Amino acid sequence: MISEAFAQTTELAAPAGDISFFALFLGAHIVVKIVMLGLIAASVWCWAIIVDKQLLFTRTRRQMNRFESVFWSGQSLEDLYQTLVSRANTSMAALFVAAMREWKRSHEGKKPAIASLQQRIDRVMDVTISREMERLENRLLVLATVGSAAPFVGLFGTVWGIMTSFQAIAASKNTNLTVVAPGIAEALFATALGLVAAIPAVIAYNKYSAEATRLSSRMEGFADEFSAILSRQIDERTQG
Amino acid sequence: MRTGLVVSLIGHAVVLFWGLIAFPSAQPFSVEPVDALPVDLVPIEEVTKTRVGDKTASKDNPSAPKPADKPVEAPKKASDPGKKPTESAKAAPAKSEPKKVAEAPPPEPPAEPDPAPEPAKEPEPAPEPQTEAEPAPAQEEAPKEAEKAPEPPKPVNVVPQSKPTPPRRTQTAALDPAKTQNAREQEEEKKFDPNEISNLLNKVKPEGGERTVSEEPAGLGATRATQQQGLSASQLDLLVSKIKERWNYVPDAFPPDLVVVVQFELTRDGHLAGTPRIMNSNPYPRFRQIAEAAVRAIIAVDRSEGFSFLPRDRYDGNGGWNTVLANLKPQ
Repeated sequence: MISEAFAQTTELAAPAGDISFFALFLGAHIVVKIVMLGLIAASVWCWAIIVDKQLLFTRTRRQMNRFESVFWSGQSLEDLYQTLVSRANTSMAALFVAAMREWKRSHEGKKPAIASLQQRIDRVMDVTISREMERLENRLLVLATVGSAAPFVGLFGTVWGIMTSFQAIAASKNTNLTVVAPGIAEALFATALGLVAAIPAVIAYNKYSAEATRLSSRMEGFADEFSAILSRQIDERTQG
Repeated sequence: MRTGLVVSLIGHAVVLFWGLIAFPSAQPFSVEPVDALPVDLVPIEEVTKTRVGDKTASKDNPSAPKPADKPVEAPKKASDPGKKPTESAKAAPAKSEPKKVAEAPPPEPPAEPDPAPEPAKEPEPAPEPQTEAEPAPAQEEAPKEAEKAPEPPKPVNVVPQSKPTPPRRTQTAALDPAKTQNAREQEEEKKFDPNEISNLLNKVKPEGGERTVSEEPAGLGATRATQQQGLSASQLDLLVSKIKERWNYVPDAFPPDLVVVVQFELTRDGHLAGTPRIMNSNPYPRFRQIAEAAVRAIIAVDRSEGFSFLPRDRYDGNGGWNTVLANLKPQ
């Protein structure tokens, strides 16, 4: 009799049932399910942004390198402008095209407006830089938000899951570990998903915001240099 | 942006799929099958009713008690006035460990008194030379004796090696004939061995036996003897709990030292004899009320089921339940 009872207890103590990820998800409370789905969606979106940014930044860097090599190759700025103006330009090329356009417009017509041309060119280039930066930094804030909020969302799912799990324990009037464990495992799964979404987001946000700052300073450096070149040209023309 | 989204979706799908394959389910901990644990219900009586043991006793018989301190008059047998009635009972342990018997020191010189510092004053007599010379008749004698007293005689001084005091025991008189019959049969089955026989021989001159001797050698036990009769702790607890079940009083913050001591006599068939008496008093203002409630509780127990749940063989004697002194503590 005693040994029978004991055998039953040992059987109960063995882990029971399917506890795969999928089963954990299906067994969870509806709120926890929504949290999990939201976190998975956030993770998908984050990774989409990460991939997108990686491609964009790589492309931008490559374009800048190519443009700089072409620009400093001694080629005529007029020729360069003619080849570039028909394209949809980005980053440095866009800067160059914007400045050149302003330059050309100022020299068009009977009366060249050279007096404040330098200021106009600077302003145009500033505007272009800020537009380019906006393009580069677009959606990086999503990464930041997911990175900071996803753990809390996951924690909310966990707290909710543990809460319902304790309610279930209270209802079943049984504190056996097999009753307690699945609910808590389910609940913790939500935190795991939150961290899975948040960690890459935080890393990517730091990486790409730093990279955007670097690209921005590079563009500003080019803008200053180009502005100096144009300024020299303007001075030469006004004196001559 | 579409590229990123597609790549991300594909990546997540791959990771989820890989997760389903790589972690299909948690690995169960390898739980060693636990053998059914045999559980013995040990009565607390053995703990609360330990008897004094002997530290010098051998470990082979650890639970055997030390013989009682007070000698008990054993009825003399007219048919063999010289024999100590307990000597015969000693054969049992000797049989179980014949080696020990053989190791026992040779009988002491005749003039030397018993080494035991006990009030037992019989000097250890010299070994009987006659029996050593003729072992066979002695053995023949053994079964005959067993008719009335259990077993063949065995020298008293075989045991002192491990037990300095000559054992006496009150229960010797209670040896039942069936047991002795059995023992005798075993004895008859034994092989004939002259060496062993000589050890078993009675080397003590027969004389008027006054004391009973324990049939078991002293064992390792408690250093303090508790009374042998009377109720065990668990039985007392049962009694007190039965009374407390019926003890009705208004709960209060009772002083911690509030105890109601009630004495009552019981008849042999488990009923109250007379009225329970309250034996103590307390400055607590409601003490009288609570104590009288306790008395009523005892009477209620008597009326409903009586006290016959107490073991009958513990009725008599000094600590028996013919008189019960109950310390009742309100919760």
